[in-house]
Amino acid sequence: MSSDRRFVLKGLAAAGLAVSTTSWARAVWSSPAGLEQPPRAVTTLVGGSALDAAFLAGVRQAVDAAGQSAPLAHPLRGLEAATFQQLDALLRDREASLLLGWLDDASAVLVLDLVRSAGGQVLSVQHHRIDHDAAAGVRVQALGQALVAGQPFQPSAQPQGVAYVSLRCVI
Amino acid sequence: MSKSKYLALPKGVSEARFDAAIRKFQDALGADQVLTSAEHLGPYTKVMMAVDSDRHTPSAVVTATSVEQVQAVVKICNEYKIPVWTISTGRNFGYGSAAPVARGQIVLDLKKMNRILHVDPELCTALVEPGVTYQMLYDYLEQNKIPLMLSFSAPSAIAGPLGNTMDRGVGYTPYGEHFLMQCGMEVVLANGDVLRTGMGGVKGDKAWQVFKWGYGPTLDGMFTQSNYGICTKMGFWLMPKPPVFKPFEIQFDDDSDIAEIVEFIRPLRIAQVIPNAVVIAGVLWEAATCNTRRSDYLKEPGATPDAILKQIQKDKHLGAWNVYAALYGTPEQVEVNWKIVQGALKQLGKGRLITQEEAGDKQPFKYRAQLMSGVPNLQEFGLYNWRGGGGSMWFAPVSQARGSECDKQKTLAKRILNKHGLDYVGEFIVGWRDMHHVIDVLYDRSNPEETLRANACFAELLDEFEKEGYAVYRVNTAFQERVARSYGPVKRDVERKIKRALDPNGILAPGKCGIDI
Repeated sequence: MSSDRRFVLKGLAAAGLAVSTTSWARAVWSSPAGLEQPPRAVTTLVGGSALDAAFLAGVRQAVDAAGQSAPLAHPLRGLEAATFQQLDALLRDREASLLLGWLDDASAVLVLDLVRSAGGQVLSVQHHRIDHDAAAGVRVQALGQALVAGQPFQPSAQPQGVAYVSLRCVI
Repeated sequence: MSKSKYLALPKGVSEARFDAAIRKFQDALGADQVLTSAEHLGPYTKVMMAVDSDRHTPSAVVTATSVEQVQAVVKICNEYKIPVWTISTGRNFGYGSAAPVARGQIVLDLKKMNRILHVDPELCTALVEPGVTYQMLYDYLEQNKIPLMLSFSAPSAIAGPLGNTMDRGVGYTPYGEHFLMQCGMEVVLANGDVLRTGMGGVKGDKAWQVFKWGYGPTLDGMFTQSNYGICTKMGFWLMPKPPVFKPFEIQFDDDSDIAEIVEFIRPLRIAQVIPNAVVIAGVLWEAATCNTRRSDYLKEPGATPDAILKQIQKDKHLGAWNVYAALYGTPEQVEVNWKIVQGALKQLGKGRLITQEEAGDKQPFKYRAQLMSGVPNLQEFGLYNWRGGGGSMWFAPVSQARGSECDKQKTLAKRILNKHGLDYVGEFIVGWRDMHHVIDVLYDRSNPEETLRANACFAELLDEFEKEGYAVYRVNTAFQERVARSYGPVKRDVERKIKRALDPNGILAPGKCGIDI
């Protein structure tokens, strides 16, 4: 990890954005079309919801299966501009990374547009409606695992559930 | 017919011909400045409008870093008859985002032309390129300790002054009518010529950013909300930071108070006692921006009942209408004007006055005060969480700043929105004599049935408002052709003639604002 990248990640954490990064050299990854080589790191963004822990656990399990260390997480504090400025700086870092997100709609709109502006690639975006019941955690954990592996995942569609967006990008 | 390797092709252009054009773009700009892969184009296709994204899928994205490169793009587009849709930051989310008005157009992304060319602390002017964001300009002023203040729209931190002004966006300070504060443009025309408006064409001139009109016809306006040229530089005026800034809020409890509020505000605004673009925001707007979701209160689909709106109003300590305004100036000026405001409110006999000292750091007061004092933030994006699902379209009819008119518009809008199972999430922004009535038509775009309803709702809003003599001042790309019809055939005919004269091949954003050859 470059010192610039470390600085940006530290700033993101200080600003309250849940972000975790792990080396990706040995993880399972199929390169999407157009990528000359797979990214070496995974960055995870969550927005402070009750299901963040489940999502991060899913990501962590999939990454652990590839022998990587467990990521840290911090809650996003609303729509603080400073957080997104730091994220923008991270996206413009030259080091390629797989970006996985479990966010509310507002944060997802902002993150996806920062990815666009930074010249990143969006591999998948899914809208979910999910009730916060006992099964929700299991489902979101499975989503986290699927996103790491790049496997298809049927989005939750409980009509009166809480809205979320999952995303998978390469930056 | 075999499947193209491109997500979309320009209308009437074969794949082989587009291949040749792409090679030309790569030669002119560099291969890494020309994007055609689905993964790269995907985020340029993401729209929040209630139409299929396919209708707005670009064929390619090219980025330019200089005026010369913009000229090169225009030249290639003319040669191959490729339509080109230009964006500065592309973050006009509720109006179309970065996607082109029609399928197959290439996107010219000017994000890399992001130099702050000049800020004059004495004359209080700036000259910027398209990719400069308000946040970048704010940081520049802060870092250089230049005591000037920005005016911007609510998505301030990520949007930019050039794009916002070209779309005739508004802000919340005394300089809130942004096109009024614009001074001097540089525009690349379809034939590659570079036009400087106002004083900009005079050799040795130093007044480009201080005198708007120049000599002869003033041309700046025709390049806004149009497709007659590509703006590559824009000058505008900045407000000196006042010694005293005093934001305040007035909450009104009843939905029916809107007419009285407008009658109370208008004379204060026209007389410049309150100098800024005052906002009168409805309860749902304010609740959504301070992290309230519909699913917190209601599981049933459809419009949110009035009883729930009252409950939200109570829980979140909001008014049915929430007026935000500010005073600016010396301590003496602010003191005098504050007394006038208090006196007028006393005479009105209703409304709770809340000062910054009383509000503290609470939202939504905090972000409203920031917007009125030129501090960028992202708080208003919270609107997208009210329903969730990624659907948002701004419906923005203009009205007189007259109580009866605003009441009529609000009642009409709410009736139509509720009929389609959607909510009235609206605010009025007070110009001097006009109101920008801004309504966010929020819906779940991941739900096909609701998306169809939202589309029908938006069309009905346009139709029914037009019957009453109202039209919007700006609209998303899916409805631009429809709205152009509201302004009458003569205007459209003139616009078409200008288009044919300036852009005979019709390469610049054909269809934007309903203008084509």
